[in-house]
Amino acid sequence: MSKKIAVICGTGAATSTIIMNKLTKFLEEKQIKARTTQSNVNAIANSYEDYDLIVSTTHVPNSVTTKVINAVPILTGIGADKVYDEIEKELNS
Amino acid sequence: MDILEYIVGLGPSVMLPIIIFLFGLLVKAKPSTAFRSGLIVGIGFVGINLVIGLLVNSLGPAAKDMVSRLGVELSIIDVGWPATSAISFGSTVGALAIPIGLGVNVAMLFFGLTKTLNVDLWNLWHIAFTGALVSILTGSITMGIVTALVHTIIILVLADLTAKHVQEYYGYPNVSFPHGTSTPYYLIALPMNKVFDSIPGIKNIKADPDTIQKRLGVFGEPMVLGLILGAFIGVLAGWNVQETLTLGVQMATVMLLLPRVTSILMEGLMPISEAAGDLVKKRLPERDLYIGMDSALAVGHPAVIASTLLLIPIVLGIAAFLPGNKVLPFADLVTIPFIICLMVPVFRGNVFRTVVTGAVAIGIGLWIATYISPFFTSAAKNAGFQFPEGASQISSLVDGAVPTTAIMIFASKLGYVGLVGIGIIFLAIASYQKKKAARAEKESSEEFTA
Repeated sequence: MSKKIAVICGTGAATSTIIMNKLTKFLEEKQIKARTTQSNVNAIANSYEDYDLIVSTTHVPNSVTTKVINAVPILTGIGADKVYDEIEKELNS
Repeated sequence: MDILEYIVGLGPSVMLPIIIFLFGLLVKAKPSTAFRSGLIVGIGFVGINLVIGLLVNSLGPAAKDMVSRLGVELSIIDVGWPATSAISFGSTVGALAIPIGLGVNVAMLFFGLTKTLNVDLWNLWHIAFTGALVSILTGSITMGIVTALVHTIIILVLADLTAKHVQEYYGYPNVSFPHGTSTPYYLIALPMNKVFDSIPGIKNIKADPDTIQKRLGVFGEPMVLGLILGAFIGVLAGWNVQETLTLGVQMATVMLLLPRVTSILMEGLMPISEAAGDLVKKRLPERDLYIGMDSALAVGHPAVIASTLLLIPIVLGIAAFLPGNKVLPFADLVTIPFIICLMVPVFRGNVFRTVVTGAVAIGIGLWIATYISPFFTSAAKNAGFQFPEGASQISSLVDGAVPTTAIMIFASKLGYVGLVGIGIIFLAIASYQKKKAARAEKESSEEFTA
């Protein structure tokens, strides 16, 4: 079964769109099958259990027990490769 | 200017694709990419228009009935930042906002007056907003352009001033937030913090963000908030059960769809924004830069979320009882994090201080939002947003209630002198900061050699 990823930011409109785009391209290149959903931090606090992985550009509440990966390096370009590696590792585990 | 006016006359859903396409070619994106980007931006615009139609057409009559039944004068609907940004980009000045914003940024970098390179072109809608309002108010597009120019300077200077908080408190190295909504409130938080510190008793009040989030978290989810508010307003309007519940679901729809359709606009802008960023970065000399990003990065911080959850009912209460306010806060209730996110570091995460200051700032902001609503509504009509005859007026908290909006509007009433004067003040702050940084560097290098 393919894993479910939530891509989130503060609003679910701005920076998460950028991450969504880049992540989708990355997953295609690596031929990793995963289902991605775009959302915001307030919604995820109530629905985190539906996802295997959360990729976020903002802080996520401590109550969220799903694994969270910080995606800000993908935005700034500094250290982006490390984040992609981490995502890949998490999806293959 | 004639060509520009003709293109703007085509309406934003046609104009924006053309402008984005041309700008894309200018920053050397592939023609096919530029074409797709332009078209997607146009689609996003039409999409936002549809959702705002739903909001105004369903909440409008309810607000009206509520007003006539209860006598609370809340007839201006807060359409929220997604609509505000689309209306702004759809204006004549908005069409020029991206070149203006980038141009001013590059010039200030060149003269060392800022350290921020704003790669977040999306958020240039803030300067388009004040520019559009001033050009409607004064009837002069040139005045609007000068407004956008000066507003860019203000935002960059404030982004530099707040950069240390973004880096130290939020932990984003080399990042600053040149964000039109978040940065001005920093200047309000600074004196307020001094006031709190000097009052015994209040000095030590705190509130725990985690507990607040656990208890109230469900209300922070936009669609749940939409449902509750919609149903609540239906009840106040005296509507029957079916009408009330329908309004609730419709408002939940608006809250869920607004960010979704806005992200389409964003998606279109992204490749162009990246191409422009690369081009600028390539041309700039290597030096210590802050990368200007959306303050959305800070929105998830526990103290920001907790303060927002408390502020939502407080802002609604203030709106109902504040004399002179006519704005019914709605779509921007979930945008409150952007208003407070640069206050939070000044207050070191103190939720009590953030909520009090936020309430005062938004309360005053409601007057601004009320005052600008006629100009806001005609900007929306100019941008092709369709309202039924005699429909409610509209406004927003972001950026309708933001202090810089008031500053730019009132400065424009003094004519060019006012606008240029504000620009000079902020350039002077920038040049003082530059000198201070140079002095600090010199001292530290002297220490090193000694």
